[in-house]
Amino acid sequence: MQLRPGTLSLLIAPGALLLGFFFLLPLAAVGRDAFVGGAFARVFGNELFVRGLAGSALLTFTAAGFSLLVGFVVALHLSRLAPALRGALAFFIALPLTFSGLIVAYGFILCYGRAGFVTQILATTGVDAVAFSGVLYSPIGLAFASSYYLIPRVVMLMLPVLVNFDWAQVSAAESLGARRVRAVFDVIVPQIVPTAFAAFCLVAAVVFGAYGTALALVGTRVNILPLQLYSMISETGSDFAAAAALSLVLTAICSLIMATGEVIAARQERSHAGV
Amino acid sequence: MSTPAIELLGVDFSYPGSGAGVKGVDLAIAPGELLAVIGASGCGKTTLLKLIAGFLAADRGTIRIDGADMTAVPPRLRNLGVVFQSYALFPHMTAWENVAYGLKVRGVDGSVRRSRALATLDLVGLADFAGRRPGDLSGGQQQRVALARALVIEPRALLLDEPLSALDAARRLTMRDEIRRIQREHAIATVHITHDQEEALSMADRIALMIGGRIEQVGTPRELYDHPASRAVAAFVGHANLWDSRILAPDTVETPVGILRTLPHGCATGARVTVLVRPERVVPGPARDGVNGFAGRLLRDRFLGAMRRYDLAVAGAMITGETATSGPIEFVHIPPADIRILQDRP
Repeated sequence: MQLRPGTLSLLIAPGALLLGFFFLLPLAAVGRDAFVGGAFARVFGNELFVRGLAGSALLTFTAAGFSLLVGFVVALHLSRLAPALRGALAFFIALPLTFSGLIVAYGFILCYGRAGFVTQILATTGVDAVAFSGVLYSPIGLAFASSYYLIPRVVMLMLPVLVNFDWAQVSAAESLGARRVRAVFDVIVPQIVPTAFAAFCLVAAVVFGAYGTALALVGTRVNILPLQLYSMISETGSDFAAAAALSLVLTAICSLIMATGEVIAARQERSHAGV
Repeated sequence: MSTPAIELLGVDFSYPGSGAGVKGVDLAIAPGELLAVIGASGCGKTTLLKLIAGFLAADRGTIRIDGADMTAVPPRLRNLGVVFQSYALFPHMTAWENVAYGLKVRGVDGSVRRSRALATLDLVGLADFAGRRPGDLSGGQQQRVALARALVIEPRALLLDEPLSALDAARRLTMRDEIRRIQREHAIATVHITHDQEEALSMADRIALMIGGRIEQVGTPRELYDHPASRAVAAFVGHANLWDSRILAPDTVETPVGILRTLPHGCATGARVTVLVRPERVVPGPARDGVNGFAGRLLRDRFLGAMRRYDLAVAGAMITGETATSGPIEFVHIPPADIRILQDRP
């Protein structure tokens, strides 16, 4: 359907206003602060930055990798169910997306904290409650908690691909002489990997920039970039220019991760379409 | 008799959790023969193909290919060319790469692989499309690529799972001839699964009709059409007038439309039977000798291009006929030689 330019402008306007007032304008304000007084030099010169970057990268790869693995298996299982059951289960799986990071963290503390429900049950079997709950307040625990809201994102991205995948292709490859493993690598992997990579990039970008769950679970004990930024603008910090520079760095890294995923997925789509 | 290309002996299979599957299938496909398997949806046609291909393992029975027991052999070692209903082409590969895949798996050298793939694509008239991906090909072209991919490995037999069902009517007619031509040129035993009886009648050397997981009848298209083994076969293959009837005499039967004279049928007097009359055997107009003539009221008259199909209400029952003639129809007659007595009732 061809829309008249006037109608098109009216339809675009709300989105454009939102983008302008709540993304571009704040970004410009942050950018103005960041590019004065050598703020970037102070950020990059701080030895905590490199460690924070490494911590964020470790958390991102662990959480995104684990979420991709679990999310893929869940999506694969869902894809083989009847549509009605699949829809119902997908609804419940998507529920964590509606929770804030703070609620997720609180839920994990209630379950796996020192006095948590699960910890107390395990303590009755001889598990050391302090040591067990200590894991939750570590980078591993943080990655595990983050997966709670990352896995549904992976599932939602992978599910359509797996539902629409023509599994007869595997049978075709086998009938042509391929072993099951080879059929999987020759036929399924090339078609699934781009979406899996895009899903990985999306959840990686989300977890790289997330701080709510991290703050609630580990405070500033774990050195990751979002918590460094929080330190800079909380009551203990005062270098707002460096905070602005760091926020731009975070935005750039997250955007880069997401763009990489999008480019790969789009390239693959074009390739499959024969364009 | 030569060793069958494919032979099934007492093959049973049922899907876990349901009674669906195939039961007691005995079937032999001769080398170079095209056997069509027809039947209603869910009758077990595709299950039968999957059992032959090795995608499903039979619960009981034996499957032989070229005389060798293949019952427990995985699909990759059966060397059968399979064309799937969805074609199952690999979308990330070009047409020639799809065709060459089976050769690649077999370790055939790259240049030989490519030349053989291109030659096979040429065979199906797609040499100019070798570099295109499936997404860039029409349904008919994809179907040809799938056929080429199945043929290039020089299979012992071809298994076609409703390969024409996704094509439009005109393309389907062309592809019927194309498949038949290639199948004959290669003299390759072929099992063609289809729900389209016209397709089966026009292509097959023999037809196996499946009902409820069992093979109801195997025969030439003419045998199935003219001499169905049961009422179910007669009802499935072509159009039919099927009347619950009673034998009155060695050459007379009582039907809902009236008493019919038949050729001597050998059935016992008083026996309950089904009378079969194909619509094209119903002749418009009164019979010269007055035998089996009926007057009736035209209920429906459908124009079908080369002919018309009509329903004539006779004595509270109905006679369906087909004719190429035009004009009103008030009388019909049925020659005794065109009446079949089936000794089973529904």
